[in-house]
Amino acid sequence: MATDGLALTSDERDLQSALRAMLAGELSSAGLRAALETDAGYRPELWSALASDLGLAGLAVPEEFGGLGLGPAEAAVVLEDLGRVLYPGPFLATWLATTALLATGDAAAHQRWLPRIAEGTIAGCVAVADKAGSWGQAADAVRARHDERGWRLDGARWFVIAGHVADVILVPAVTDSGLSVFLVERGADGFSAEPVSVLDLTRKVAIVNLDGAPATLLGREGGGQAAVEAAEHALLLACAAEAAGGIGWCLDACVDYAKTRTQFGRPIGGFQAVAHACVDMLAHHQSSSAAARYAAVATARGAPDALLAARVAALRTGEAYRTVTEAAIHLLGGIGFTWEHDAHLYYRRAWSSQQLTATPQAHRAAIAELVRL
Amino acid sequence: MTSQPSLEEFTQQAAGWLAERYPKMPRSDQSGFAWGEGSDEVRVFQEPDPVEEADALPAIRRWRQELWDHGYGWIAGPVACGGGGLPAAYQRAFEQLTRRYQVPGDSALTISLGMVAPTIGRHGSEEQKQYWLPRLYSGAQIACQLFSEPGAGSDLAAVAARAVRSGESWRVTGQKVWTSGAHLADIGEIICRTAAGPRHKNLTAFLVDMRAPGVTVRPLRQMTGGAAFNEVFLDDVEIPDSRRIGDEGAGWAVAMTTLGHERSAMGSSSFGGAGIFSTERLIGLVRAAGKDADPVIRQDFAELISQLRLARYTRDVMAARAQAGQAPGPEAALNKIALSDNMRRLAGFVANVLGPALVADTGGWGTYAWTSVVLGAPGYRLGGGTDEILKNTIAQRVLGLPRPS
Ligand SMILES: Cc1cc2nc3c(=O)[nH]c(=O)nc-3n(C[C@H](O)[C@H](O)[C@H](O)COP(=O)(O)OP(=O)(O)OC[C@H]3O[C@@H](n4cnc5c(N)ncnc54)[C@H](O)[C@@H]3O)c2cc1C
Repeated sequence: MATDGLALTSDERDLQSALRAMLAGELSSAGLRAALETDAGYRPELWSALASDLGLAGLAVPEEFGGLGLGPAEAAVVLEDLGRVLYPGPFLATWLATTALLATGDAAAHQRWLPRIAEGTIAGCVAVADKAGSWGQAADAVRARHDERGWRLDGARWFVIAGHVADVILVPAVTDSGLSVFLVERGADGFSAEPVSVLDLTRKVAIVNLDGAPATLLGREGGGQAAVEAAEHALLLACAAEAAGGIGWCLDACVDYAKTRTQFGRPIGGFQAVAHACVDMLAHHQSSSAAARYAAVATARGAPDALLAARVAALRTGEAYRTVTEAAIHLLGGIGFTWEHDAHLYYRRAWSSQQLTATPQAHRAAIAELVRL
Repeated sequence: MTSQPSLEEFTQQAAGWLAERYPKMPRSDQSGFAWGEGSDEVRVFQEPDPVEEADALPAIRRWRQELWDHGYGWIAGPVACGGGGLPAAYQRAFEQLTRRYQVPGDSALTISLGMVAPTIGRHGSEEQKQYWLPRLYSGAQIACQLFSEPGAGSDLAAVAARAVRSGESWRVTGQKVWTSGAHLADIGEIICRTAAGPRHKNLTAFLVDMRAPGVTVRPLRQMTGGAAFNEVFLDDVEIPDSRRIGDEGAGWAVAMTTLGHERSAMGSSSFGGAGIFSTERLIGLVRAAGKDADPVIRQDFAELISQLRLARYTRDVMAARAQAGQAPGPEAALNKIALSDNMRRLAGFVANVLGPALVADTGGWGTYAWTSVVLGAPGYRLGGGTDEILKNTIAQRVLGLPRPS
């Protein structure tokens, strides 16, 4: 890919400052934790401010449907900052659903759903993973059948981010013609989304059960692969951008602490082992943020290396996020291991996000294929 | 140039110019690499045998002179000093282009052009810039870096080589060590102590004539077997005051500029294209070893590729930010650490793919040659500042932590 355009544009910087201004003070540790105690797991007021006032719900929705009409590069800018504060609301899930919905090319569904997504009145999600977490369509894929009243889905999808709150759920399912994408509405007969206990307290996931649930086919029957791939590609970018943000939080928290905490009569940041641990975090931050950016820009431009870059970014930032959060807890000492300190929330996110995206082995296998070894 | 050509016009012209003079690479695809064709050399240091070297140097100088004569010698330099006055993107585009042709290249001139020239550009007087920069960029003069001494490595401020003023010149006595390319160089950027007292405030930088009476260069053999670096003895060597770079006592700042360029130059040397980090070369290696279906090797391969790409994305994004005026700085040294880490990873990967064919020459193309990388990798962690020193600097200057001890 040509390398110009990798720095933030002035529009992107404006978006970033507007988002930061809105988030400032909203997600203090106490505020975040109070929200986590609720069933939804986030504060509806803040989501509605982000979704409607800032327009983030419609970030990827074309302007003709009332959205911002922005691409993956801008989405990654937003996700990096949301990842930095562990924002627990349904931005990511809605963005993934929008991406998939757009990729189906279904004009009628676009007319019907995109304006409401852009208004922030409904949240979306994608329900793709099987019980092993795989996005490939294995034997236990959801089945779709057509009866006199329309399409019906049977099966279950796992690890569905924001499945417990989404109003529209995009589900790939197999018909006689192959993989197709369907839309199920929350509240449909035979649909249920059960939240399960999760390691990452700031990201609820649900198991979606479909027991003859009525659904709308999006696009062509058997033509679902493109939408699934678009959503998966978007998830890789999101995982990288969020990790870059979270790593940035750890870096700042640790550097602050290293300057103020004294032992042996001086700030611990003066001990070389501590200083070098901070520099290692800086290195991870620099490279993770760059990789997330590079992959998002490559995707926005449709560059030939876009998917490879997204895989590389997800793999490397996933590993870096775990390394950095672990190092952060260590650097903070006993306080870092307490429930009260937020470090563990990032540690939880790092482990969770990596597994919800794909295992490092899966990324590596994909990379070897993509460069045609 | 009166009006600036567009990047496309420029690239087109340059491509035509190169094509007229230099043969194309055997494969002119992006990487310029084809397994089994041409030389399988993967050296990471400039250490050809002395005979080859004697042959190569005039060709390198001719190449630079050609470039200079046709306005490609210093594309992004200021017009006042003989540069092309074009944006840095033009320079990069030209460098990309040259990879497709069999040109002598600039790898022997990294210190001269990547470090010493920009230091003169920053700290030199107008006169010095106008005198030295055209000479360096046209290859008429080649510079080396005379910083390290037996007693002053990581602790560069401990340099003991003394320069004493006598009238309009200085007399220098001391010993420098690990001087890369001193045997090829015409001049050396030397840091000397010019007064007693506080260490950082009494150093001064000069350009010393490497052929002046009193300069003795002795090759030092590296663990790779070659001799890319040297020890340099200076015995009452005369340096005219007109060759002092920066003020008397301001040598530390001059040295820091050079080191900053060294770290970012090393960090941005991608060894890409057809080099050791070429994806094509690594795929060729795995296939030739018959291991492309081995799931463990495939995983290791992808792990390495992901690290190499990560380093590249980081360099590209940082370069773009720097161009857009968004914070460059000492953190560029992190790229140098990433480079030496990747060289070690590469060595480990290659060893696992080749097995004993790495350690005993079986005659296969692209096998035993990799010992150069295995043997060269440790040098990359040392040269240009060790990992520890770079991290100390970044901790203080970027993160604002207390001086680490
Ligand atoms: C291939 C190569 C090319 C070179 N080319 C040049 C050249 O062209 N010109 C030139 O001037 N020099 C050159 N050098 C020298 C290079 O800059 C020095 O080797 C380097 O700065 C280290 O200095 P030293 O060798 O004296 O090791 P020392 O400074 O003695 O270091 C020994 C070990 O102690 C560690 N150490 C030292 N101080 C600290 C500290 N404060 N905290 C933690 N660890 C510490 C170091 O990291 C290292 O591991 C080259 C070196 C190599 C290997």
